[in-house]
Amino acid sequence: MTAAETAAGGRLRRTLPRIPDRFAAFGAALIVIVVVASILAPWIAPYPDEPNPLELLRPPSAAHWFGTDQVGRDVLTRILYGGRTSLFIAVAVLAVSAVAGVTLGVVAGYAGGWVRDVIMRVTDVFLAFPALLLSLALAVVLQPSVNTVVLAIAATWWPWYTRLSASVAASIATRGYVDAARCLGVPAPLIILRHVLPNSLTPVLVQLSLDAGGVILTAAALSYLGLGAQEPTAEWGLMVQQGQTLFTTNWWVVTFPGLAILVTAFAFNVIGEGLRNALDPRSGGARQERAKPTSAGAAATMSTRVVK
Amino acid sequence: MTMLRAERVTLGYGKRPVVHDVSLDITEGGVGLIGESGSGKTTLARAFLGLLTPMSGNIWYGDKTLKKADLRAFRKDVQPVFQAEALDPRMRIGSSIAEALPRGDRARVRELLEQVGLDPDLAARRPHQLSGGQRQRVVIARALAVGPGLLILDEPTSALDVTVQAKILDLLAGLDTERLLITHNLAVVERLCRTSHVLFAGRIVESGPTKDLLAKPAHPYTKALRDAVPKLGGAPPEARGRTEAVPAATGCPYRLRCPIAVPECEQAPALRDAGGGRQVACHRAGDVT
Repeated sequence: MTAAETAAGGRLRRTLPRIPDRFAAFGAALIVIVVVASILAPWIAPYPDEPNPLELLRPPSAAHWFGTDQVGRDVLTRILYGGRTSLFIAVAVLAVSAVAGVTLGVVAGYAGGWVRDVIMRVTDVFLAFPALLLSLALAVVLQPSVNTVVLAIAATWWPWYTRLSASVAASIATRGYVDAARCLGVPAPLIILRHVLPNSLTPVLVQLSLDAGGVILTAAALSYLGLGAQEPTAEWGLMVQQGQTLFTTNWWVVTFPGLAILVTAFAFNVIGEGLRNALDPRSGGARQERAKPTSAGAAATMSTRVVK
Repeated sequence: MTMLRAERVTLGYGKRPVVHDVSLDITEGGVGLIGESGSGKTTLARAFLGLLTPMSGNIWYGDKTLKKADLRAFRKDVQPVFQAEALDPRMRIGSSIAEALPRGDRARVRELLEQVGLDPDLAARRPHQLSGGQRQRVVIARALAVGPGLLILDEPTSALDVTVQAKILDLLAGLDTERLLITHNLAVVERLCRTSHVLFAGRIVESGPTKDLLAKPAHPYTKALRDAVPKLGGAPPEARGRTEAVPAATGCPYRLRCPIAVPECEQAPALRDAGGGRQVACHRAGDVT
């Protein structure tokens, strides 16, 4: 092997571990683009978000990059406006679910005993219902709207975070530093806030980013059934559902909103991977410092990830 | 003076006992708990720290049981030094130590780091940025922060290389505190503890002055532990008996491994006085050579 080949191999080895970070940066850039474009929709959308009987089902062209839908609205315009609704639903559902689920989960995991039993049995009851059915039931009881969708989905989503954070917190609660804090007489709420919660968050943050796409799709299902976002509100899932019968003849009506969901979900996924690396001080995030990583912690956080 | 005393303590997890009817005093001069993995050493240490409630029996702190003792005073007086994951990976070293101090006294943090032979500037680092020996010194500094009278040291040097071990042992030997040392390293016990107890399958099988106990074991398990230590330049240690056999559920728990077991060993031996401050639980204590 020549010196040049050795040098090239060295460069490759130095570069490979950074690829996930670059993916994360790419994902973050995609999300920034989607969020900024959605916020600026009223100013950057090429057309008003209104029906136009003269432009029904036009294929993609220079005038309508993504074509038009069955009532003549520009699909690109609808996607830009729809991003606002879909992202709001995703963020709101995940925020409500995470706050409620993680709070209950870390308390259950740390306290153990009857406290854990009560919290986890209530969680099991919610998990026992088919999620979509429970969302439907709640959405029927409440008035159809975006807020209804948020509440209905969050009601079925939080137990997953409770289960995830309870298992992580139970593991954290047995660590030496938690025992040491107990031996110092640090009160339990402070131990939870100072040690258990921060060390339980990495898998939750990863899971949050992985769930964003699923929330958007669930919101779409509810909207399709008339229980969520209603016409004329633009929402990606609603656009997919409304366009699905046209897929074989007018593919662009369903394909572009579908791609918007796909790209957003993909971006959240790679951000999740990047977050895991950045938030775990023993993994790549601390590579530049004099790191002496212990793989056990990183492996533990990776192994706790769950798939719904 | 006895600082802590276990009185016929049975400990376990759930309903499964792992330490059976153990009585021992933590007295001046250092007390060692010796035994293999799974023998119940750490479980007993957790009970002494008030982290585990006995299924039966009592832990005494002075003239009160831990249930009735002033926990605030107890926490200031008894502190642990763990080996594994003893520092929060997210907290800076200074914050970990300051957790033990009123109002997080940063000047005192620097003093403590100096006391354990570390550069005070390490306070700004995180645990993964320190070596194993440095981390262990930080753990000791945190334990010392509240001015304890007793340190409970759970395998404080087991993950360190021998030169670092020696430095940590020097540090521990120089501290003005009493200690309960949990280890499977006989050399460490010999150095730091005047008295030792040998645990097997959650039972004390032999107790006594450390030097006597290691020089002339009265229990075949103590002898097996001593003989298993490799000697520099000597022949490799030779295992005798079935060293992998699980503890017997009835009778003497060691009998399935014991090279000198007799039918009498199917009856559990009581811990009895063997003279010279020693106690042993073996029917054939006199035959151990």
